[in-house]
Amino acid sequence: MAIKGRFYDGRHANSHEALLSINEEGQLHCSPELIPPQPISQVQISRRIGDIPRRLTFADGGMFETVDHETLDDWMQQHGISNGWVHRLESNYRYVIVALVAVAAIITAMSLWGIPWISARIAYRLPADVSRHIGHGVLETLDSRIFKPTTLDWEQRRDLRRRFQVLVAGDTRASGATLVFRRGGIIGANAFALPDGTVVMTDELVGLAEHDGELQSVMLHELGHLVYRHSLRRVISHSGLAILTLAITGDVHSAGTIVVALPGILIDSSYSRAMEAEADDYALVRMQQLHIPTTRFADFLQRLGNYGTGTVADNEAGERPPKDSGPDQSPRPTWASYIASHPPTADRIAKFRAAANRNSEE
Amino acid sequence: MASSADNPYPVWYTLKFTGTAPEYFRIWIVNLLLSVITLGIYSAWAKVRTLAYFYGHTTIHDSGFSFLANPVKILKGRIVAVGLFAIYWGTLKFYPEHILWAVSALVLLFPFILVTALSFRMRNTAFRNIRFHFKPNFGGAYRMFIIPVLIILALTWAGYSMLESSDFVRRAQEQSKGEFHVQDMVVSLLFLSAAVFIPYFMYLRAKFMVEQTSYGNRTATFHARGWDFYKYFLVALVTFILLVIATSVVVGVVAVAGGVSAGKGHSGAVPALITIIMMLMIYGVGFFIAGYINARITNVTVSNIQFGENRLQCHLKPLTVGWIYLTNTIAIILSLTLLIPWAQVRMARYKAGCTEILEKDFHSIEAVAQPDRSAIGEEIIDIFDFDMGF
Repeated sequence: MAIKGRFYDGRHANSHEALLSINEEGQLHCSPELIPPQPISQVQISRRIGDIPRRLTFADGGMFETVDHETLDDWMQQHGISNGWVHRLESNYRYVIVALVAVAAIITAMSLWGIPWISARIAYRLPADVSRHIGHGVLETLDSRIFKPTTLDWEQRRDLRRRFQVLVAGDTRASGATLVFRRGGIIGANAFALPDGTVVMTDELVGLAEHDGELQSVMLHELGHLVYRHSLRRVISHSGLAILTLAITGDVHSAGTIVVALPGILIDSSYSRAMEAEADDYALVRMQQLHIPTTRFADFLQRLGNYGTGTVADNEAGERPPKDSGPDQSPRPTWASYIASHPPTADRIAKFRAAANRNSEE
Repeated sequence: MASSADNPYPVWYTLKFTGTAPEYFRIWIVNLLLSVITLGIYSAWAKVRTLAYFYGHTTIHDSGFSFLANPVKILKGRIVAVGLFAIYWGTLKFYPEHILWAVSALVLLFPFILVTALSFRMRNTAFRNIRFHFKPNFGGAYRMFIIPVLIILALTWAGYSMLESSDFVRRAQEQSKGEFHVQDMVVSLLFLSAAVFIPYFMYLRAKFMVEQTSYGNRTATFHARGWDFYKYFLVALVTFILLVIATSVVVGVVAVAGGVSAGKGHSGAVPALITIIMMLMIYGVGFFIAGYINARITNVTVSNIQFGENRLQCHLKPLTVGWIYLTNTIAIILSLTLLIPWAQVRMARYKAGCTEILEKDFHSIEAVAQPDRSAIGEEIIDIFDFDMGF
């Protein structure tokens, strides 16, 4: 049996129709005799990739090109030349399905658990300076684009700051945190923890409070974001994802951007819920230690929900450094981002009410 | 001698792409799996397999192209490129005040990177056992870049000093009560000046890239003119402006019909409807504008390339390219990326089917010896997603 193909001598671009045959000892013969007979083991055969033409390259630079894969594969098998294990994976549909499932599972697991876990380990090891660096300039940006100066009177601010400092003093991990007030304008009743340790409360939020302890519960929630370094963890996660994606795909082509987008969305959805829950838990534990009724936070969340446009204790602002969020992407919580990034308020309220019930039973 | 001149009677011959989506899907998914479990190391081999697949299935008279790069070289280049990208990303995220330096360094290095990338790519591309070659003309690359960059900076500066001397800045700052930022204005001017130059820059780049390339002993020549590039961008721009006007009219009609008037606030459903209409028009037609530019620029570039007496011709249809962009994107999103192989094969088949070659003297083309090259430039180009415009 002979293989039909074309011979190119490597010096000229013209081709020669040729037939390649093999004898018992594995000697290749070309007809017409464009190359001297030589053993197949000394010929460099390009690895099989799908059905693209394969090249048999000879020592003198000549090349024989063919698409008769079946015969060539037979010859190679008879003389113990492998086509490579990658081609075996590619040509078996069972392996292909296994590969598909494995890729989906690995990417999901990496986005949901792997990357967030590693980011948390890195974030806790980094000095506090790094976090401060990310937060640098965020408040200035927000001030120039969204916030207006506060209209709360001086005594009220001093009073709230004192309470805040008492809460900060109760946990060394929160040291250095400061409280500032701004009029929220379009973002309404809201509170943020910026990565540099600045907690921002809007006048509108302060105005909603009816009881002692409600604003403290919000402060504790924000301190929870700072203690657990949520902004830093999120920035590290997204950076890690970007670099990993580049290492794996090698390029981000227009069609490929969704490849990055999907794990990014997974990371965010797992994060924002987990982070709010973590900050809530922090607030809950410390409220119990300080003997602040845990229903205060629940009441406040409920009132905020009725108030409408505002969101509670959202740390969205600090999550991205200023350069990343242009004027149009400034924190402007809408119902969509609220639903996407927060555990249902009802669940959160229920958690604080349940804690209060347990306390009263004890 | 049993030589058969392939094409004794010169006729235009249409390129073929013979790959299929199911075939490529299997290669793609195995590449992805191996790259993921090796944390990216295998991606160098994956890249060679992918390019070899697309090259090999692109045929002229049943002769395919070959991609001959050594994956180890790609891996080395990729490590350097990922490292550089990590530095760039880290600067952006943690020291955004220094990002200007990083960007300037990249811009200054770009001509150098482009030349090394093309040298690597061309040297490892072969057809009929003869390699392509890209002349490493670094001086030419810098000369080509420096003039547009200087003109863009000069235009920005001129615009800035004009606006400043005409009191525009002071008045804008007063009227907007501090919301007006001078930095924003400078950046806008920079983009505006750059936008004016994009078509000419693309022309210069295409000309440079083609004229340094040779196949065997035939150096390519380029016959397009700058205006050829400008006119298609102008058409795209006019279309875009008309689109914006049309969108505004539609939005206006919807708004009036919905009873939204200034001062009465938003009623909920109507603003949402307006947003949807605007998204559909901007995004939907955006694909067609991108398709138009890509088709026209590819056509005018390829059709003006000549290797000696051998000529190329490309006639992509703008609407078809836009349609492929749109439907490919929808298919990829709906299939959660699984149709990426199908989309790539579909595009490759369409592009090959629109490209023709007129062979005159292939039989007399001779090989030229050339040294091996590093893949660092090639990988930087890929990682940062610079458009080489192959």
